[in-house]
Amino acid sequence: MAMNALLIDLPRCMGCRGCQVACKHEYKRAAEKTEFFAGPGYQNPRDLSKDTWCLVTYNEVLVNGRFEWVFGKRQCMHCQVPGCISACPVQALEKLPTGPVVYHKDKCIGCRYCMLACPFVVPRFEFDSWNPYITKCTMCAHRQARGEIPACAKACPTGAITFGERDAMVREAQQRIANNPNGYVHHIYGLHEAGGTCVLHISSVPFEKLGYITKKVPTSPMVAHTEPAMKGIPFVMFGLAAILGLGYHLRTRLERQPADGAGDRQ
Amino acid sequence: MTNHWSDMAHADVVMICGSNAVENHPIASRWIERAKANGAVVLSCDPRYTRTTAFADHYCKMRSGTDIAFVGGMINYALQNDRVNREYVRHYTNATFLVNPEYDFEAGLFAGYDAGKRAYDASKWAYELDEQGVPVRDMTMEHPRCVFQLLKKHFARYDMDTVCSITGAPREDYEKICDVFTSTWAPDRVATWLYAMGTTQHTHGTQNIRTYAILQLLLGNIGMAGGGVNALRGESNVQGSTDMALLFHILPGYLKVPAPPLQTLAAYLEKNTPKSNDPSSGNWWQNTPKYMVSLLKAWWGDHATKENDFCYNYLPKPSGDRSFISLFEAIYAGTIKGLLCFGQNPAVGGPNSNKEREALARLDWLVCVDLFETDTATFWKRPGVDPSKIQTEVFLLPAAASMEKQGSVVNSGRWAQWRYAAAKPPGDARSDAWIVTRLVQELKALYEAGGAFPEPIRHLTWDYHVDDHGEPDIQYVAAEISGYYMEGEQKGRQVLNFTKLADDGSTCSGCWIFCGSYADYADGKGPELNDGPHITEVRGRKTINRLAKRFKEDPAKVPEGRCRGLDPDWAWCWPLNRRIIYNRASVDHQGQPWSPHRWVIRWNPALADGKGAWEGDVPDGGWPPLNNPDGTPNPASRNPFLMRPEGVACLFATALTDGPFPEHYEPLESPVANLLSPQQFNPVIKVWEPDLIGDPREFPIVATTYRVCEHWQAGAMTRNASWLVELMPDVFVELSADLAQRKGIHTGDWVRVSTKRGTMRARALVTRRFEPFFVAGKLVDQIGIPWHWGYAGLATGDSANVLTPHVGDANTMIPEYKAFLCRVEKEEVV
Amino acid sequence: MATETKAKSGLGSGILALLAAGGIILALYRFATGIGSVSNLNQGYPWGFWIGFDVLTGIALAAGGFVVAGLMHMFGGEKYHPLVRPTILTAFLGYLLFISALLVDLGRPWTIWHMMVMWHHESPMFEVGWCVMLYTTILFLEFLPVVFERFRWERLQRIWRNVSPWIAIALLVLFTVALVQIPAWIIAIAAVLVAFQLGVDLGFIHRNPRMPTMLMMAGIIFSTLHQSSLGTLFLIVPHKLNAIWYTPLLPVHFFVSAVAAGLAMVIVESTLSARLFGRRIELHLLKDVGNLLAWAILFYLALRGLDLVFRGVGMELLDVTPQSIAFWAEVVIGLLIPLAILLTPEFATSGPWLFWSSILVIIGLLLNRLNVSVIGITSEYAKTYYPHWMELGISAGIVSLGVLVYIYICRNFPVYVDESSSSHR
Repeated sequence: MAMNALLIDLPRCMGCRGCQVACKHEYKRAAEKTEFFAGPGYQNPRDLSKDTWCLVTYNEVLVNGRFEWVFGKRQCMHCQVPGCISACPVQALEKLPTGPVVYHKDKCIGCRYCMLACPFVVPRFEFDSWNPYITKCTMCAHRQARGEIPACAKACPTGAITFGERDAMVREAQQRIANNPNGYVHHIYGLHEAGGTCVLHISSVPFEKLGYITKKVPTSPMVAHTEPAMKGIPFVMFGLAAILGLGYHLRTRLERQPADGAGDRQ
Repeated sequence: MTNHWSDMAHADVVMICGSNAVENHPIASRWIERAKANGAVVLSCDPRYTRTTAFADHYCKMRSGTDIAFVGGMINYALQNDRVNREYVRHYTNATFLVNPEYDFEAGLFAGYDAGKRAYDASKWAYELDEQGVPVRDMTMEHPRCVFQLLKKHFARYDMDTVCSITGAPREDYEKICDVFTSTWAPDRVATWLYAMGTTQHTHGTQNIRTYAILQLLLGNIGMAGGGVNALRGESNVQGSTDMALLFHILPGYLKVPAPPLQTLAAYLEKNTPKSNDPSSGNWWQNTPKYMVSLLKAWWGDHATKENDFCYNYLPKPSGDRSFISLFEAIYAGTIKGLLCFGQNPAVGGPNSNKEREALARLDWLVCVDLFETDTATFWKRPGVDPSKIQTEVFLLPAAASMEKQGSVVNSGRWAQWRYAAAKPPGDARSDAWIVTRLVQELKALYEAGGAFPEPIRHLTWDYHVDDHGEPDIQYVAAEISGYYMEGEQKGRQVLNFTKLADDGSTCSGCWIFCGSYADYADGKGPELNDGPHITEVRGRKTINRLAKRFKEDPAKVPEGRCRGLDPDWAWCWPLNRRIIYNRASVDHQGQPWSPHRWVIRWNPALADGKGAWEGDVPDGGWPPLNNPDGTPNPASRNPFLMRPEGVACLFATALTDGPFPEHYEPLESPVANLLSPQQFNPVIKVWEPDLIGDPREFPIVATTYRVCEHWQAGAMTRNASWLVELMPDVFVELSADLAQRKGIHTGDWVRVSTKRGTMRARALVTRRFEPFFVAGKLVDQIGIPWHWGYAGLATGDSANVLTPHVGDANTMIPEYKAFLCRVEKEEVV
Repeated sequence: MATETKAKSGLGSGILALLAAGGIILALYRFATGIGSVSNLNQGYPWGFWIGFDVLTGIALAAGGFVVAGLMHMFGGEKYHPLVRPTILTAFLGYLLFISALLVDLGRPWTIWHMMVMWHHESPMFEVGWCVMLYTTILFLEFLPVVFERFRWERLQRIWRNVSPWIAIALLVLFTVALVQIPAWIIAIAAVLVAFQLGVDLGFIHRNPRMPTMLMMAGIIFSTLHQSSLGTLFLIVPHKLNAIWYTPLLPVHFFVSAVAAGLAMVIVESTLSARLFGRRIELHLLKDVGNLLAWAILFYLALRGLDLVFRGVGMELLDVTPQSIAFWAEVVIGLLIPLAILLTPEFATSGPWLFWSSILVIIGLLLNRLNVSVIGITSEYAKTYYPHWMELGISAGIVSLGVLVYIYICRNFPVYVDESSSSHR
């Protein structure tokens, strides 16, 4: 099975938020109680939440001295080697071969380490429930399984969200940038971020101006940072067992000679 | 729309002016995006930097209510720089027509103005006719009284400096817009113009659209794929309801409403059937008698006979204006006692809605038919009123939503598309058809017992196969709208199309432009003969509901170079399934397309056994091309604008009440004096409440109202949908950082916006998307307020329409929602 | 004098009991309504005071003390034996408390057993979980003799002495299977352990009469892994943890600082329990411990300093930010001041000075763990985090409960083995 990806072409986004509502509709997530607006422009809610897995952000930016109103999108990036998965102690998160990072709620113990591990600050926790779960975008794995495309991509009127095989999406993104080199910054967000993701973004303005986490996201998978330490476990165990055992033996042998006669075993 | 939604993809330039298409018609942006991908340039001209602007390549701002100056300047730019498709203009418009010497334009007024009546005598604008009664033409377009020269003279006053001074448009941006848009004068370049309520909701709204039409005609963009003047209708079925005469001044199919003096059918037809002595004019409206009689037959069936004038006397013959504003004035005055409100929410949506809410309290009874308990249905318990003081009896009938019933929707592109019920209506909710049928049955029963003039109701045809639950079969309604034979050997058979309608009472058609939308199976051809839900049975006959057809055109079978998206077997489009109207103007005299790589129709001499035939879209009149292959005029041909008696499009139009050419006037409330003439505002509008006009010294800020993507009209549906309320919870006012700073207002503050008519509270959204305008040498601020909110539903707030004036367009009476004066103050925290 | 002490301790116990009761009530409220209602934890700061204080600090203090005592016991000879049992008790109680704190912090604590059956060896959290589980078992085994002695179940004690080493080996091997999953390593580690224990059983290796050495070894191995794995946890947040603290060596830092804090804990516990139970302070032993503590601090300081230098972190430390202030507080309070005290000869032999410098080291460790887990974390989009009073209340309640139980056990079980009865049986 090929790995799929979403390509988010931000210059094509017009901020209609059809994706945001389609997502809530697909998963029957509750509306949040909002007041006025949560950011520049019409953004609401403020942030991703346990009920908001897909969020369009509104950004008023100056590009070369000219004002522009530019939209961004936040959701799970569906890393190729996801930090949340390497973090989870009970394998409640799983990377499907088709791309989605899905969550098995029945396995979850609620340690929230996945939230800490996520470089994109995506997983959300139901802090207000006695029986809480992690929630986040699933790239509509259940829809993909039926041969449908994710709800957000389906809802998008302008083709700002397209869905397909990741390789093809990467080529498409490169092509769009090459066809309109002045219309895009020459960077595919998600191509290398966190070791590569299954959600790719291209933009007309630098990503940091849209509030994307840029410098802080490593280009290596998150697991690369814990792996060396985890690899050290057997060395520590073997080494300690050997050193402690040997050391103890040597010390007691030295001590035993004079102490022997004192009647260790009476 | 002259064209249709998916056709936008063919444009080289997409002008979005008077519309926030991306916000309010998000799906339109799919096609705009496709045009962009093909290299099109998108222009946004608007008082506000909108989501459309964010999507566009170039933006030019303009003050609300100065569209005629703005576009007039573009017309002038095209004329001065000779960016005119001269062949097109010469032959397909009335540029060559001579106007009689009485025509004049002086000090902002056209000839024939009567200040007492506030009206024009349009006869002063007539063409000069020859002995046969045919207009005189000067094909060189040099005669000083020819329309082309008059046009040039009229718009010469709209020079770059004057226009920028009036509109506040930055000159550099404006020049860019003029340059890019008029670049489509070349025959092979096409621009489309998208507009909506930003254009129409002005005291000169109709003339705003006229400027677009004039400019598009000069550039030769009408009838072309990717061209046209396209009204993006504000609701999914506004086109359909207009076609079906939801307005006071028309009957279905744009037939005129009888005026009181026209007491007989003959008098009506004599008055309303246009005549032309020009042999090259198709003058399609000469068929008015057939359409009118067929309509009367549809309504009163066998009761309508030649002897009784086909029941013409049953029709009401209202005098004067019965538009929305005047209806409410009449309710307020106590003349109208009862109101049926189907899916409408005037307590939020009407202009000066405070007054309209008060008017509702003067009704004896009010029936609201809606999905939710709307602001109108709860007007009697709205905040600040004492319900015990209101005597109006209010009924709320729960209605089925559009997805809960079967029926048709006509989109802006005139496509009539059939929809099926996706879910059952909840509880006691019923379809509108059920409710109306129930009402008709009751009224018929009551009138059986007597009453004044009972026949129109008693004799009303209502043979819609009502089932045991009282639900009529909506397929029968659709079949009747299309029309069928009522007598003769074909009796019962669906009429093929409106060319077969008759004025002798042998046919009926509920709306002639839809004739042919519902066919006898025997008359079907092509894919529609395939099985599917579009195959129906009506009145015992096997029929085809063409609105329900869903066959996509095979791209491989589209002839080379032809525009895409015609899809003749996808739904049905009036008239005659013609997807792009005026398409005869997209070809030259030989019938060959101006733009060969996106042609709409073309004459193929090889077809029809060498006699030649049109291919592509359904041509606007099937006559052969204007010229024979040898270049001589073909007398069998007709001019391409067949709905006009002239046969050509009108740069100079006598049909409007406020002048043959558009002329810039300020909105009723304006912060500045009119720079072009002493005539401050449109001289023929009716000013309902002269004492409620704000003084710019007291109310210096220009305001406009608008809609957002997340809410729908007066909000009854969306303010009850929690997911949408989450996105847009509170009413807000958008204002520039500059104005906010002067007023000490910060984002999120509560502010009060006041006009002469009312005051509303809203949250302030301070944004760089708004900027002050430099107009006539002074700084003018503009603010914007979405008007969706009211006191009912999940998201409540003041309606912006408590601010708007009771004044309408001179021709259509549409209220001037888009430009008025206000004052903004920060609300002090108590 | 005695009644005064008793009254004082009565008042102290009363306060502790109140705090414990309050904590329990808050915890019940938390289980009924969710974490959000008692804490300020949010989507950007999923971990807060409970992790920083109860888990990271608690484990360092509980287990660190034991590691130190165990090492001394194994290598320092018999004289350190009096220090061992109290540290076993503190470690065992500490772990039980830590587990109860974890149950409060876990969203779905009733599913904690999932860790046992749903293995994911890649996850540092899995390692932490297994260390907690197995190490607590080891501590339990180590604590059993206290119970046997109390009730004079000598037969059980004999069985325990023979069986418990093999249980420890089994647990160690199981851990290797779960975490390493490489057959060669499993065999190698199992072989070393079995060889040692056979050596003990067959008399080639000295048998410790009081405590099977294998248990000690298992304890040391598990707590070494555990201390460092808590550091490993934060290796996954290079994007969130301030560069002052984020280093690939974080597991080593955690371990070394835990050893230092463990030494400090030995001093503090001995001093406090001596005062509490009116016993003589083993000052001769504590002096040695203080000496070791000084070395440990020096080593740790050098490690941190070199690490910062090699990673090129410099200017950040001089900027005035909450993080740099927190860093300097950690270093000055927890390392530099106690080091200065311990390196001053007249203070290094003084009971109170030893005690207070150890307290500073412990505070320093607490600051360090809070820095790594809370203060040093910056989360994009999220509002900042301050602990809610109820979070503090629950933690205070748990600690109070622990102290009460500790006092109870010390009073009723032979934890502080009388020198006279400590002779071999």
